[in-house]
Amino acid sequence: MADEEAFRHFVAERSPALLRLAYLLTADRANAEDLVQNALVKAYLRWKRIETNPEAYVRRILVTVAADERRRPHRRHETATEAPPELPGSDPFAAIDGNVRLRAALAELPAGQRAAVVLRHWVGLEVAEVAELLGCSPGTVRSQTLRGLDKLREAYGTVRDDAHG
Amino acid sequence: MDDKTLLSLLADDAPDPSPGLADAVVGRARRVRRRRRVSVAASAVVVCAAAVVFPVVWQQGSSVQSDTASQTAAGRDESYSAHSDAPLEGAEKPGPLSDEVAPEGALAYAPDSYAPAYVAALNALPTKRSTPLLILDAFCADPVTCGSTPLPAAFKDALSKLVPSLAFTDDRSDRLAVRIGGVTPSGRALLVTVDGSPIRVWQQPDGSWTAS
Repeated sequence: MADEEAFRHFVAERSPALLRLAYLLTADRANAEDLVQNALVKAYLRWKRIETNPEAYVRRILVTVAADERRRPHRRHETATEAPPELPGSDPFAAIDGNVRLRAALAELPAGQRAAVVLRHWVGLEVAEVAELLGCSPGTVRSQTLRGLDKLREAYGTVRDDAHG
Repeated sequence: MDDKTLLSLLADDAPDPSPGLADAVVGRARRVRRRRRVSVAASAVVVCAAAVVFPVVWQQGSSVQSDTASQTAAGRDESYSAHSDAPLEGAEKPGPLSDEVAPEGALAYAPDSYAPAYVAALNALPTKRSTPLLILDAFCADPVTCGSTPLPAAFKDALSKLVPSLAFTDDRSDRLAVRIGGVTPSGRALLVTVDGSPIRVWQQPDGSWTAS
């Protein structure tokens, strides 16, 4: 029971940060929730072994599962769209045009670029670590990161220019 | 704005954790754990059942062979009881010997447990053979009459373990290859057919075999 208490405490304390990471990796709110829940189930099942540093374990699962999803055949047919897939009105941020455009830019990034950007600049992993997790070369990670960031900055620049009139 | 801040801005759109997240996770994890335990228990049952059934089937198969061997032996030598005196009893189930080439009166198989007897017979060959010792991969009643099926794998393995410099060939035109046939009980000895000739081999008290 003490283990379960500790686990529940961990979930309550760290799930917001884990959801943020999952959201950045998937660019989809529902997928992010599923991803975090699946990772936490795995963490619960091996809690005794990971108790000393559960967040690192869960983060690794998030990244690995997101990368696996990216490698699955049905994901390879993923195509970027002009607008986010959610219906207008169903998104609490839809009223904020800038946010929508930034979210669209994140969703439009190829999954590999998105993962590279997030792992490198949000999680703070080294290039070699990102390359290992994503199963590609360090050179690919660098180029993917650069391209992904360029697109996000470009989207942000447009939003900022619009805001300043 | 730096990259981290830009990503933070995007991460702000992440969903908030649902109030029942911990309960949902714990509930799912318990179901997964229960399924795993059931799966492990079912696997254990299957393994245990196999462990019980397999030896029974094996024993029944051995009994049938034992009867066959005893009947064959009785026809030639009343003092011979094939399996009560059989060497290396309990070894792996032997492969069948092709009926069309089995010498009359030979056991209906050449079990791998008799591999030491075959080796003794091979060592007793009158002529010096090539190295590695080449054996035709079929049972042969004589140098020209051989079965169509290869020697049982377990039998070949047993021979190879006893004679490291041993090779098998399926080239029936190779005159250098030794032709081995069946084994026939003869009193306390066995007659091992090699190149069509029976070679009498005896088991010593220490379990080794020698040719007379």
